[in-house]
Amino acid sequence: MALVRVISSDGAAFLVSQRLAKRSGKLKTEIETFRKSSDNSEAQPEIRIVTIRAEILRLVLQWLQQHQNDPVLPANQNEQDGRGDAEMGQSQWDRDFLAPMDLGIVMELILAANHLEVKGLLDITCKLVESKITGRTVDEIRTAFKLKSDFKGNEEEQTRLENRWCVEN
Amino acid sequence: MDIIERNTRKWFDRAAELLRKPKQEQTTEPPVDLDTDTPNNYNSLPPELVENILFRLDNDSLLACRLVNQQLKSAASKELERRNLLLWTSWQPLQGSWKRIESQFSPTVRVLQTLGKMIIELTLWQLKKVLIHTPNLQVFSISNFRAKQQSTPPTILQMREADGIIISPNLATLRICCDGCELYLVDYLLELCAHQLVNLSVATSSEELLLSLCRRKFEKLKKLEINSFQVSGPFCAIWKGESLTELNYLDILMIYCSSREIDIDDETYMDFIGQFSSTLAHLGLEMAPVSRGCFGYLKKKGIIFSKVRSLTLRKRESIVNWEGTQAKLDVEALFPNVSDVNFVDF
Repeated sequence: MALVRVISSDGAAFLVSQRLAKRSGKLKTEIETFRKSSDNSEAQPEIRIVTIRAEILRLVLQWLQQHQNDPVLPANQNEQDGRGDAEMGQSQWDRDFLAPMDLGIVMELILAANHLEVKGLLDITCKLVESKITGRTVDEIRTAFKLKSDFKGNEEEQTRLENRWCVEN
Repeated sequence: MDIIERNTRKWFDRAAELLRKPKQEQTTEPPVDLDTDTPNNYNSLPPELVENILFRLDNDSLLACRLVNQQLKSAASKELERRNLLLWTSWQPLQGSWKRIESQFSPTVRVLQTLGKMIIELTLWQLKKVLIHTPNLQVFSISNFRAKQQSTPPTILQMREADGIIISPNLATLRICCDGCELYLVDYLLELCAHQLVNLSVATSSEELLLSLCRRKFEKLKKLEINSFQVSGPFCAIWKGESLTELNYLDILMIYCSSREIDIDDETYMDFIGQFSSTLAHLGLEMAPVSRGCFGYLKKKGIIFSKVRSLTLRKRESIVNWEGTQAKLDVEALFPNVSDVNFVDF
C-alpha cells in the first residue's frame, strides 16, 4: 500500500495511505506534484503542513478515515446549489466526533478543512458553528465565541434600531 | 464630463464612503479577544469562511450577528443585502389591481420595471436599498404599498442619524399613489429627495400625506400634479408656495363631493392656486368651483395668470352652454393668453 508522510506544523508525522490522503484536495495535489518531480516512483512523498498543528491534523485524518468510502463532493458545489448540504453527510459518528470539541478546536478544524480542501468536514463544522449562533442572544454569541463588542458611541443602539426596521418585513 | 456623470460619480463616492465606514473603524481598532489563550475564535476566520457560515443562518440570527461586533456586523449586513437583492431579482409586477392602478395613474417611465411586487411589500430598509443600488434612477413611481406588519415607524430624525442622507442624484420625478398607509415611507422618500424633485405627482385619499408635502421645500419643482379624494382644505390653507419659484405646471384635482359634511372652502382653494399666478404656464383643475364662480373671487383680488397658455378643466357632466356664462368671462379675464379651454371628462 502506497503511503504518504504528512507532517504537522509542530513536527508530528502521520503515515497515511495515499488513497486516504487523496480525499483531501490539497494533499492530492501535493502527492501528484511530488510524483511528477520525483525520479523514483517508489519514493514516499512527505508533505509538511505548516499551518495545522498535530492535534488538529490528527482530527482531520481521523475524519477522512471514517469517511474514506463516501463519494467525494465537488469543491465548487456550494456555488451551484447553496451550502445547506451538511445535514446530508452528517452521521451519528460525525455528531459524536464533534460533540466533545470546544469552539476553539472547531474553529481550527474549519481552517484546516478549508486549507486541506475537505469539503465534507468543512460543511459539518460550519454547520456546528451555525447551530451555536442560531436562536442565541447577542450576549450568548459573544460568550460562545469569546468576542467583545467594539462598537463606538451609540452605534450598537443605532444598529438595534436598524434591525427593528429590517424585521418589519 | 457631463453633469449627470459628475452627479453619479459624486453619488458613488458618497455611497462608497458610507459602505466603507464600518470596515475602516474595524481596522483602526481591532476587536479584542476576551480569552487571549484561545487563538481561534470567530475573528480568526477568513472572510470566505465567515460568509460560508452566515449563508446558513436565518434572518433573525443574522440580525443578532449585526449586534455582536464590527466584523460580524459587516459580514451579516452583506449577507442580508445579498438576500434582499436576490429576492428583488425574482419579483414580478402583480397582475390585476396593479394594472388597474397603473392605467388610472398612467405613469410615463418606470426605470425599475420589476418594482411592482416590491411596492406592495416595501419596507423602509428595502426602500433604502433600492435607492442605494440605483444611482442612475431618474423616475421613482410607487403605488399602494404596504409593510407586512404594522410596527412603530422610525422618525425621520432617527433615519437621518442612522445612515445619513443618500439618494440617487438624478432622481427628479416622483410619483406616489398612496391611500394613507405606511406614510412614513413617503415621508422618508420626500425627506430624501424633495429638494431635487422637478416633477411630483401625488394621488391620495390621505389628508396626512398632503400635509406632509407642506413640510418640505421643493426648490426645483416645476410640475406638480395632485389628485386628492379627501377633504383638502387644510392642505391648501397651509401650503405656502414661496419656495416654488419655478413651478410652471399645476394640475390639481381636489374632488368635491356634495354628500360630505366638510368640503374644501372655495376661497381657500383659490388662494392656494393664486399663489402661483406669476409662474404658471399650465393650470388644470375641477370644473365645479369654476362653475360656482370661484374665478370671480380671484378676479376681484386683481390676480391675473398672464403666463398661462394652457387651461384644463375637468368635468363630470357635459356642459350645455359655456358661451356667455359668467364662468367663461372670468376665465377670459384671468387667463388672457389662453385661446381655448381644454375640457376633460373624469
